[in-house]
Amino acid sequence: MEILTNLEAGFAVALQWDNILFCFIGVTLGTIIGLLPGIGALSTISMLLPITFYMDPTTAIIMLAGVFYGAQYGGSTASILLNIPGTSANAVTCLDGHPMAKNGRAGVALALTTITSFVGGSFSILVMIFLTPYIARFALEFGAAEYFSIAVFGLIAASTLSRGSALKGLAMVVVGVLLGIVGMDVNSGVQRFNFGILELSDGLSIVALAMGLFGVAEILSNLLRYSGEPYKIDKVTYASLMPTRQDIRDSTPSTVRGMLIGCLCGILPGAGPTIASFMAYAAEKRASRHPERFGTGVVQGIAAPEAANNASVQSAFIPTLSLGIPGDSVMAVLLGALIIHGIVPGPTLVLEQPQLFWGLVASFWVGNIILLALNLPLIGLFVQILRIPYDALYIAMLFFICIGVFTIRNNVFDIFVMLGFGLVGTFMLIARFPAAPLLLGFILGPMIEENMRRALLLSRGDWLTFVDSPITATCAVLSVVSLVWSFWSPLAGFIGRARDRRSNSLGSTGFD
Amino acid sequence: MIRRSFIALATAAFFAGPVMAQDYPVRPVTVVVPYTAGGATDTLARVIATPFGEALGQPVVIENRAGAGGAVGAEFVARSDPDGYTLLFHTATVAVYPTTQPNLDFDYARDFEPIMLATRAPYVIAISNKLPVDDLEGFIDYAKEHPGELNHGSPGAGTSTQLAAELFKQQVGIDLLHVPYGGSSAVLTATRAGEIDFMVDTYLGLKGAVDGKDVKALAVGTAKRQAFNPDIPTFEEQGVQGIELAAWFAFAAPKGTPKEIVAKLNTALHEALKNPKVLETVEAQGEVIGSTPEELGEQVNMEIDLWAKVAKEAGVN
Amino acid sequence: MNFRSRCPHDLAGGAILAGLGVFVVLQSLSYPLGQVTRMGPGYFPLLAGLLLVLLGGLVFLFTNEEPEEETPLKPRVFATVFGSILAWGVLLEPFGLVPATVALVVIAAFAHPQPHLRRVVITAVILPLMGWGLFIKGLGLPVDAISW
Repeated sequence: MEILTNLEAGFAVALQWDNILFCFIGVTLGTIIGLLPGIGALSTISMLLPITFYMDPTTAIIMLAGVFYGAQYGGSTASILLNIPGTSANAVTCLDGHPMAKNGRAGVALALTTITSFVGGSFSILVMIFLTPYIARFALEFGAAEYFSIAVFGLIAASTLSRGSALKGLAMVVVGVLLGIVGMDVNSGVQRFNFGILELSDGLSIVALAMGLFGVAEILSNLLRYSGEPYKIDKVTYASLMPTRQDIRDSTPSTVRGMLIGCLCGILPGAGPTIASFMAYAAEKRASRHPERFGTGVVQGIAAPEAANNASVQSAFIPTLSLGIPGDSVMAVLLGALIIHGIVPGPTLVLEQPQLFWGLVASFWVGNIILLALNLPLIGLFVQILRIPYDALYIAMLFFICIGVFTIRNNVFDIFVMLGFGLVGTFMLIARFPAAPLLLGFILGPMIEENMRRALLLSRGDWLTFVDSPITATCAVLSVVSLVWSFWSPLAGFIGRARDRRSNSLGSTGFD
Repeated sequence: MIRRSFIALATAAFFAGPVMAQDYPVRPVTVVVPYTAGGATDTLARVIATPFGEALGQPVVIENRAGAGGAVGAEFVARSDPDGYTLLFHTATVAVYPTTQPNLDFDYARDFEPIMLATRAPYVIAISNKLPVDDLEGFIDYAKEHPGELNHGSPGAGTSTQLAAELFKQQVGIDLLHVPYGGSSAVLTATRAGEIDFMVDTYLGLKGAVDGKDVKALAVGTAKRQAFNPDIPTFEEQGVQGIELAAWFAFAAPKGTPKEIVAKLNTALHEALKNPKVLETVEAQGEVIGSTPEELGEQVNMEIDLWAKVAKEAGVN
Repeated sequence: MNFRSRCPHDLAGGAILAGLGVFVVLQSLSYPLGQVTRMGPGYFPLLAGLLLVLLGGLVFLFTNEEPEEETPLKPRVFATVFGSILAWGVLLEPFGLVPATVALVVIAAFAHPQPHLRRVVITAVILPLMGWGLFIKGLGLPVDAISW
């Protein structure tokens, strides 16, 4: 029971009054910036970094980490209420969250995402407490070929993310992949599709892309259809906020699957919360017997991605702290913050800095409980956002989007990129070309290309490298099955009927 | 302290007349870091900024302008007013641009006034644990017995880290397959997992893996052993002559900045580099240099030619 | 094939995607292709471009999805929303955050069918104040509040 002793020591650190205070500041700030579209954890943590230089390292990391996971709580609020994702990890929550709000269930959606966020986060914290040493080793099993295989599988799954034509979904995935090519090719150093523009040499900014496609396009198309009437919302009572028993029953299996997917994505360096939420949504749609209902406001469509992105931000600390491998750019900044304080994460960190590691783990619990306590009562207030007159609201949204995109690199070039994608996104919305698969293609495309070329270099050109390990072989099989399933409709129908029969016979297990 | 800088600020606002070199500085000085916040370069710049500001009598503000391997920030400073209020904190990468980004309209000698090569961080050679060798000579022999079979991981094609490793390979005459990754931490992960056999990086990134015995640190790229880990031997001790491999960090101002201001900045930096917090940060990865402006200019010139030659021989574009 | 009964959005969308694919294919031919086992920088974009030509063509030929609701293309809305963002981006560095934000608010206000003067004025005061207080003072955003 060494773990319990450690955890006790950890809580002794996390419950010091200054650590509680900074944890509170961090998660509150995280919720706020998550709520504001465009401004994400990355730019906030980067901007806060200098302030923490003269703080105790444990306190500093507790606060900065709080911003990161707090943002995941806040991010879904804007997705649900305004159909504009607070961070790119919440983009997929728009698909069912906003329809729920339109159906008068905004309060339920907000309550449900808060609860699933808490469950997802808590699960990963438990994994972190008990499995960190084993998981750190597991992450090393993933080489170039494994990353390639898993990214291809993700991409195929992504084409069915949205409602409507799978063909259009797949076409948008490819557009996303192509947009991901822009900039310097890591493998050769050659600049591709940058048209001589220096700012494009690191590629397009994902925040500018997401805010153009989801934020500006949403505001614009709303205004195009707007004839002057305010949003109608019903009076919000606490009764109308609470999910029904049916909601809980429907969303529980999704929450569980979402948190497992999210936890795995967090552990794998390079995956991160955005991929986690997309994957969880795609998996739900696959698992559902009524995939056609997705996109109309089903609870499964918000529970899974929100459990996933919160699980992934917590589990992302595992490789960061125990291997010194930052899973994504936010983790890289946090790693930088540790290094500034002379703490170099690695396998010895847990032994050499127990007060930091266990104090941080304990603070995650504290932070998640604060977030739960903070967010649930505030739902009534958040829903009031819809009462703000739309003419003031859309202007404020435009402002926050602009400032958020600017803060990524302190470069106005990204504002113009966002403007361009706002125009593209508006026409995509009008013509029903889905933006969510595009965004996922943009994230996974570079992963696929880089790892494919790297794997072929490492294998000296042997293609068998993509099927000769257990991980790659499994992914290859899953990819082929998914592809056949999506595009061979007779077979899909057949399998669907077979599944129906099977799950009917399993109906008593309670997983329906 | 806070009071003093407040008064200084207020005074600056009142007397912000024409810029005179002898009055400099009358307002806060901005140092542009051409990389993202939180990275190794940014960290170092921020630690130096506080004592630098104290020595100047005006706060020094760090501004991150990342992009294109540092070229975006460098270009921003080159276009700024040469009044000493906008400076660049740069790395040896400025000597690589002419080779790897020939389309870039970038000319260090034409665009910048060197101020000081402030600190350097030696590259450390690290290899995978799965290789049956424990020292540099053993590794070189092993690589010569297995030409083309070992993998060299780098944080990207055409990065200064790759070129440093290529210089080493050329100098000792070994043939390793270059496999680019998207960043140093990805290379380290792959080396740890055994996917990559050979890498170079500064000690800041490697420390965790070296301490945890997950990779073997074979040599440090400077003439003397380093304080951060005196157990790592030098090249010369192991029979490799004639090369030094180190990343370095320097300050520069836009071309046309008055000589007096450059001199003032150099003096203030010398003062800042004596600060204990700065020393602690620098010595975790290398050593303080504190050069003259002329020495920095010469270093950049020398390296421009060096990397062009190394890249050509290695077949990098 | 009867194109007249087809949804014009999908015809146009498919054609644009295929066209984009052709452009990508042509552009990627200007980068070294390499070989299958050792791909150059042009190989992957070439494949992706060809795939887009194929998919765009299939969308053009077969997809037929009616838009869910009619969206009128009001030029004033396009001009004001894009004008406001453009103005913010152009004015930010030369003039500072406050003037850029005021310009954004004023231009964007006219995207609304009937701009409400009092609310616009309130927004034009609150947002720049928030920008200054929260981002410049609070988080240290490296832009001036007002510069000239």
